[in-house]
Amino acid sequence: MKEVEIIEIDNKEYALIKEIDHGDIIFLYLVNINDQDDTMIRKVKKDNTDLVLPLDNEEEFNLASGLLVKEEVIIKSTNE
Amino acid sequence: MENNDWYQMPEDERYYRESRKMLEASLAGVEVKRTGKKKNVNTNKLKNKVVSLCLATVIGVSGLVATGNVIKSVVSKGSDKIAEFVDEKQDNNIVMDQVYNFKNEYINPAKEHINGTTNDYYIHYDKVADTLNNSDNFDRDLYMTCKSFEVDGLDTEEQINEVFKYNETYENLNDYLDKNDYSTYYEFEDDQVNSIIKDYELAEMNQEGVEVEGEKTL
Repeated sequence: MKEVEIIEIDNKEYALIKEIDHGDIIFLYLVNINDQDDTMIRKVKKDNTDLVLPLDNEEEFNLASGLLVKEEVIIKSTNE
Repeated sequence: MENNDWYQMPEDERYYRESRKMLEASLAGVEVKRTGKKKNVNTNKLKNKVVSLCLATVIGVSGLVATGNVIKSVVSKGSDKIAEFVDEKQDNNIVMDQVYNFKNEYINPAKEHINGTTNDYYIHYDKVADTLNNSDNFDRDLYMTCKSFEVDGLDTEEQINEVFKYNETYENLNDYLDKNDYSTYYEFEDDQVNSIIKDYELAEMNQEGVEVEGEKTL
Protein backbone atom coordinates (compact mmCIF):
# COMPACT_ATOMS: atom_id res chain seq x y z
CA MET A 1 0.00 0.00 0.00
CA LYS A 2 1.19 3.46 -0.83
CA GLU A 3 -0.23 6.93 -0.36
CA VAL A 4 -1.13 8.48 -3.69
CA GLU A 5 -3.01 11.49 -4.93
CA ILE A 6 -6.70 11.04 -5.62
CA ILE A 7 -8.36 12.83 -8.51
CA GLU A 8 -12.14 13.01 -8.50
CA ILE A 9 -13.86 12.70 -11.86
CA ASP A 10 -17.63 12.29 -12.16
CA ASN A 11 -17.87 11.68 -8.42
CA LYS A 12 -15.48 8.76 -8.65
CA GLU A 13 -12.08 8.58 -7.02
CA TYR A 14 -9.12 7.79 -9.26
CA ALA A 15 -5.67 6.98 -7.95
CA LEU A 16 -2.87 8.77 -9.73
CA ILE A 17 -0.49 5.87 -10.25
CA LYS A 18 1.95 7.43 -12.69
CA GLU A 19 2.96 10.78 -14.20
CA ILE A 20 5.08 11.18 -17.33
CA ASP A 21 6.46 14.46 -18.60
CA HIS A 22 6.19 15.09 -22.29
CA GLY A 23 6.93 18.51 -23.72
CA ASP A 24 4.68 21.11 -22.15
CA ILE A 25 2.29 18.59 -20.68
CA ILE A 26 2.28 15.83 -18.09
CA PHE A 27 0.27 12.68 -18.67
CA LEU A 28 -1.58 11.29 -15.65
CA TYR A 29 -2.40 7.59 -15.48
CA LEU A 30 -5.48 6.97 -13.38
CA VAL A 31 -7.32 3.97 -11.97
CA ASN A 32 -10.63 4.01 -10.11
CA ILE A 33 -9.77 2.88 -6.59
CA ASN A 34 -13.10 1.02 -6.34
CA ASP A 35 -13.06 -0.52 -9.81
CA GLN A 36 -9.74 -1.40 -11.39
CA ASP A 37 -11.48 -1.98 -14.70
CA ASP A 38 -12.15 1.75 -14.81
CA THR A 39 -8.91 3.28 -16.07
CA MET A 40 -8.05 6.40 -17.98
CA ILE A 41 -5.28 8.76 -18.99
CA ARG A 42 -5.58 12.48 -18.34
CA LYS A 43 -3.15 15.35 -18.72
CA VAL A 44 -2.18 18.66 -17.16
CA LYS A 45 -0.37 21.54 -18.76
CA LYS A 46 2.83 22.50 -17.04
CA ASP A 47 1.69 26.11 -16.77
CA ASN A 48 -1.44 25.03 -14.88
CA THR A 49 -0.95 21.67 -13.22
CA ASP A 50 -4.06 22.04 -11.06
CA LEU A 51 -6.38 21.63 -13.98
CA VAL A 52 -6.81 18.01 -15.11
CA LEU A 53 -7.85 17.72 -18.75
CA PRO A 54 -9.17 14.90 -20.91
CA LEU A 55 -6.97 13.86 -23.82
CA ASP A 56 -7.61 15.51 -27.17
CA ASN A 57 -7.85 12.47 -29.41
CA GLU A 58 -6.79 8.86 -30.01
CA GLU A 59 -3.43 9.96 -31.32
CA GLU A 60 -2.62 11.56 -28.01
CA PHE A 61 -3.87 8.48 -26.21
CA ASN A 62 -1.56 6.31 -28.30
CA LEU A 63 1.33 8.62 -27.51
CA ALA A 64 0.63 8.47 -23.79
CA SER A 65 0.32 4.69 -23.97
CA GLY A 66 3.60 4.38 -25.81
CA LEU A 67 5.38 6.55 -23.29
CA LEU A 68 4.18 4.39 -20.41
CA VAL A 69 5.12 1.17 -22.16
CA LYS A 70 8.55 2.51 -22.98
CA GLU A 71 9.17 3.60 -19.42
CA GLU A 72 7.56 0.77 -17.49
CA VAL A 73 8.20 -2.22 -19.72
CA ILE A 74 10.99 -1.68 -22.16
CA ILE A 75 13.37 0.48 -20.20
CA LYS A 76 12.91 -1.56 -17.05
CA SER A 77 13.41 -4.85 -18.87
CA THR A 78 16.59 -3.65 -20.49
CA ASN A 79 17.98 -2.30 -17.25
CA GLU A 80 17.36 -5.46 -15.25
CA MET B 1 5.07 -8.54 -9.70
CA GLU B 2 2.19 -8.88 -7.32
CA ASN B 3 -1.44 -9.82 -7.70
CA ASN B 4 -1.35 -11.70 -10.94
CA ASP B 5 -4.94 -12.88 -10.81
CA TRP B 6 -6.18 -10.33 -13.29
CA TYR B 7 -3.63 -11.51 -15.79
CA GLN B 8 -4.79 -15.08 -15.73
CA MET B 9 -7.78 -14.23 -17.90
CA PRO B 10 -7.82 -16.74 -20.75
CA GLU B 11 -9.15 -14.31 -23.35
CA ASP B 12 -6.28 -12.35 -24.81
CA GLU B 13 -8.66 -9.96 -26.47
CA ARG B 14 -9.72 -8.71 -23.08
CA TYR B 15 -6.64 -6.52 -23.07
CA TYR B 16 -7.65 -4.87 -26.28
CA ARG B 17 -11.25 -4.43 -25.29
CA GLU B 18 -10.25 -2.81 -22.06
CA SER B 19 -7.71 -0.60 -23.78
CA ARG B 20 -10.50 0.70 -26.04
CA LYS B 21 -12.58 1.34 -22.96
CA MET B 22 -9.70 3.24 -21.44
CA LEU B 23 -9.36 5.26 -24.65
CA GLU B 24 -13.02 6.28 -24.52
CA ALA B 25 -12.75 7.23 -20.87
CA SER B 26 -9.60 9.23 -21.54
CA LEU B 27 -11.29 11.36 -24.17
CA ALA B 28 -14.58 11.79 -22.33
CA GLY B 29 -15.56 14.22 -19.63
CA VAL B 30 -14.53 17.71 -18.75
CA GLU B 31 -11.65 19.33 -16.97
CA VAL B 32 -11.51 18.99 -13.19
CA LYS B 33 -9.42 20.60 -10.51
CA ARG B 34 -7.03 18.66 -8.35
CA THR B 35 -7.91 18.76 -4.67
CA GLY B 36 -4.70 17.33 -3.25
CA LYS B 37 -6.63 14.54 -1.58
CA LYS B 38 -4.61 11.41 -0.86
CA LYS B 39 -5.35 7.78 0.00
CA ASN B 40 -3.46 4.54 0.51
CA VAL B 41 -3.89 2.14 -2.39
CA ASN B 42 -2.16 -0.92 -3.84
CA THR B 43 -0.24 0.93 -6.51
CA ASN B 44 1.54 -2.10 -7.93
CA LYS B 45 -1.69 -3.83 -8.79
CA LEU B 46 -3.22 -0.74 -10.33
CA LYS B 47 -0.10 0.23 -12.22
CA ASN B 48 0.28 -3.23 -13.72
CA LYS B 49 -3.24 -3.01 -15.04
CA VAL B 50 -2.66 0.31 -16.76
CA VAL B 51 0.69 -0.77 -18.17
CA SER B 52 -0.90 -3.86 -19.67
CA LEU B 53 -3.65 -1.86 -21.31
CA CYS B 54 -1.16 0.62 -22.71
CA LEU B 55 0.90 -2.27 -24.04
CA ALA B 56 -2.23 -3.59 -25.71
CA THR B 57 -2.73 -0.19 -27.28
CA VAL B 58 0.82 0.00 -28.56
CA ILE B 59 0.87 -3.46 -30.07
CA GLY B 60 -2.60 -3.18 -31.54
CA VAL B 61 -5.63 -5.33 -31.90
CA SER B 62 -4.33 -8.28 -33.85
CA GLY B 63 -0.88 -7.86 -32.48
CA LEU B 64 -2.33 -8.13 -29.05
CA VAL B 65 -3.60 -11.57 -29.79
CA ALA B 66 -0.70 -12.68 -31.93
CA THR B 67 1.74 -11.59 -29.28
CA GLY B 68 -0.34 -12.88 -26.43
CA ASN B 69 2.60 -14.84 -25.13
CA VAL B 70 4.61 -11.67 -24.92
CA ILE B 71 1.96 -9.90 -22.94
CA LYS B 72 1.40 -12.87 -20.71
CA SER B 73 5.10 -13.09 -20.07
CA VAL B 74 5.26 -9.44 -19.20
CA VAL B 75 2.30 -9.32 -16.94
CA SER B 76 2.45 -12.69 -15.27
CA LYS B 77 6.14 -13.21 -14.78
CA GLY B 78 7.48 -9.71 -14.64
CA SER B 79 8.83 -7.20 -17.05
CA ASP B 80 12.15 -9.00 -17.29
CA LYS B 81 10.40 -11.63 -19.38
CA ILE B 82 10.02 -9.23 -22.24
CA ALA B 83 13.65 -10.07 -22.86
CA GLU B 84 12.32 -13.28 -24.36
CA PHE B 85 10.94 -11.15 -27.10
CA VAL B 86 13.63 -8.57 -27.48
CA ASP B 87 17.35 -8.58 -26.92
CA GLU B 88 17.84 -7.12 -23.50
CA LYS B 89 21.33 -5.97 -24.36
CA GLN B 90 20.12 -3.58 -27.01
CA ASP B 91 19.34 0.00 -26.31
CA ASN B 92 15.84 1.23 -25.75
CA ASN B 93 15.27 2.72 -29.16
CA ILE B 94 16.21 -0.51 -30.87
CA VAL B 95 14.00 -2.45 -28.53
CA MET B 96 11.13 -0.13 -29.31
CA ASP B 97 11.86 -0.52 -33.00
CA GLN B 98 11.70 -4.27 -32.65
CA VAL B 99 8.28 -4.08 -31.10
CA TYR B 100 7.04 -2.02 -33.99
CA ASN B 101 8.87 -4.13 -36.54
CA PHE B 102 7.14 -7.18 -35.22
CA LYS B 103 3.87 -5.38 -35.54
CA ASN B 104 4.66 -4.26 -39.06
CA GLU B 105 5.93 -7.61 -40.21
CA TYR B 106 3.23 -9.86 -38.89
CA ILE B 107 0.28 -7.83 -37.79
CA ASN B 108 -0.32 -4.96 -40.15
CA PRO B 109 -0.41 -7.14 -43.28
CA ALA B 110 -3.16 -9.20 -41.74
CA LYS B 111 -5.03 -6.10 -40.71
CA GLU B 112 -4.55 -4.58 -44.15
CA HIS B 113 -5.85 -7.75 -45.67
CA ILE B 114 -8.95 -7.51 -43.56
CA ASN B 115 -9.38 -3.99 -44.82
CA GLY B 116 -8.85 -5.16 -48.38
CA THR B 117 -5.76 -3.12 -49.04
CA THR B 118 -3.16 -5.73 -49.79
CA ASN B 119 -2.72 -8.85 -51.84
CA ASP B 120 0.11 -10.40 -49.94
CA TYR B 121 -1.95 -11.32 -46.96
CA TYR B 122 -1.65 -15.00 -47.37
CA ILE B 123 1.76 -15.70 -45.96
CA HIS B 124 1.29 -13.33 -43.08
CA TYR B 125 -2.23 -14.38 -42.48
CA ASP B 126 -1.25 -17.99 -42.13
CA LYS B 127 1.42 -17.08 -39.64
CA VAL B 128 -1.00 -15.43 -37.31
CA ALA B 129 -4.14 -17.35 -38.14
CA ASP B 130 -3.92 -19.72 -35.24
CA THR B 131 -3.54 -17.01 -32.68
CA LEU B 132 -6.07 -14.74 -34.32
CA ASN B 133 -8.55 -17.53 -34.22
CA ASN B 134 -9.82 -16.61 -30.81
CA SER B 135 -10.20 -12.94 -31.53
CA ASP B 136 -13.48 -11.20 -32.25
CA ASN B 137 -11.61 -9.34 -34.94
CA PHE B 138 -10.66 -12.49 -36.78
CA ASP B 139 -13.07 -13.07 -39.64
CA ARG B 140 -12.99 -16.83 -39.78
CA ASP B 141 -15.60 -16.91 -42.51
CA LEU B 142 -13.49 -14.68 -44.67
CA TYR B 143 -10.35 -16.56 -43.89
CA MET B 144 -11.78 -19.92 -44.83
CA THR B 145 -13.38 -18.51 -47.94
CA CYS B 146 -10.20 -16.88 -49.13
CA LYS B 147 -8.09 -19.84 -48.21
CA SER B 148 -10.37 -22.11 -50.17
CA PHE B 149 -10.18 -19.94 -53.24
CA GLU B 150 -6.44 -19.61 -53.14
CA VAL B 151 -4.48 -20.66 -56.22
CA ASP B 152 -4.00 -24.16 -54.94
CA GLY B 153 -7.73 -24.58 -54.73
CA LEU B 154 -9.54 -26.69 -52.28
CA ASP B 155 -7.38 -29.19 -50.52
CA THR B 156 -9.65 -30.91 -48.13
CA GLU B 157 -13.25 -31.75 -47.63
CA GLU B 158 -13.09 -29.76 -44.48
CA GLN B 159 -12.33 -26.64 -46.49
CA ILE B 160 -15.10 -27.36 -48.92
CA ASN B 161 -17.52 -27.79 -46.09
CA GLU B 162 -16.33 -24.59 -44.49
CA VAL B 163 -16.99 -22.66 -47.67
CA PHE B 164 -20.42 -24.05 -48.11
CA LYS B 165 -21.25 -23.78 -44.49
CA TYR B 166 -21.21 -20.05 -44.91
CA ASN B 167 -21.81 -19.69 -48.62
CA GLU B 168 -24.32 -22.13 -49.95
CA THR B 169 -24.39 -20.79 -53.47
CA TYR B 170 -22.21 -18.87 -55.83
CA GLU B 171 -24.55 -15.92 -55.59
CA ASN B 172 -24.46 -15.89 -51.85
CA LEU B 173 -20.71 -16.05 -51.91
CA ASN B 174 -20.53 -13.14 -54.31
CA ASP B 175 -22.95 -11.18 -52.18
CA TYR B 176 -20.80 -11.90 -49.21
CA LEU B 177 -17.67 -10.69 -50.93
CA ASP B 178 -19.40 -7.64 -52.39
CA LYS B 179 -20.93 -6.70 -49.10
CA ASN B 180 -17.55 -6.83 -47.47
CA ASP B 181 -15.83 -5.10 -50.35
CA TYR B 182 -13.47 -7.97 -50.89
CA SER B 183 -14.65 -8.77 -54.37
CA THR B 184 -11.77 -7.05 -56.11
CA TYR B 185 -9.32 -9.32 -54.37
CA TYR B 186 -11.10 -12.61 -54.46
CA GLU B 187 -12.66 -12.77 -57.85
CA PHE B 188 -13.09 -16.22 -59.22
CA GLU B 189 -14.33 -17.76 -62.39
CA ASP B 190 -17.49 -19.70 -62.97
CA ASP B 191 -15.60 -22.88 -63.75
CA GLN B 192 -13.83 -22.61 -60.44
CA VAL B 193 -17.13 -22.38 -58.68
CA ASN B 194 -18.51 -25.27 -60.65
CA SER B 195 -15.50 -27.32 -59.71
CA ILE B 196 -15.95 -26.41 -56.11
CA ILE B 197 -19.61 -27.31 -56.21
CA LYS B 198 -18.74 -30.59 -57.87
CA ASP B 199 -16.15 -31.33 -55.23
CA TYR B 200 -18.59 -30.41 -52.57
CA GLU B 201 -21.20 -32.73 -54.00
CA LEU B 202 -18.65 -35.50 -54.22
CA ALA B 203 -17.68 -34.91 -50.64
CA GLU B 204 -21.31 -34.94 -49.58
CA MET B 205 -21.97 -38.18 -51.38
CA ASN B 206 -18.85 -39.74 -49.98
CA GLN B 207 -19.93 -38.76 -46.52
CA GLU B 208 -23.22 -40.49 -47.20
CA GLY B 209 -21.44 -43.67 -48.17
CA VAL B 210 -22.17 -43.42 -51.89
CA GLU B 211 -19.39 -44.68 -54.07
CA VAL B 212 -18.40 -42.01 -56.53
CA GLU B 213 -15.82 -42.24 -59.22
CA GLY B 214 -13.80 -39.24 -60.20
CA GLU B 215 -11.31 -36.91 -58.71
CA LYS B 216 -11.40 -33.39 -57.50
CA THR B 217 -10.82 -31.00 -60.31
CA LEU B 218 -8.94 -28.32 -58.42
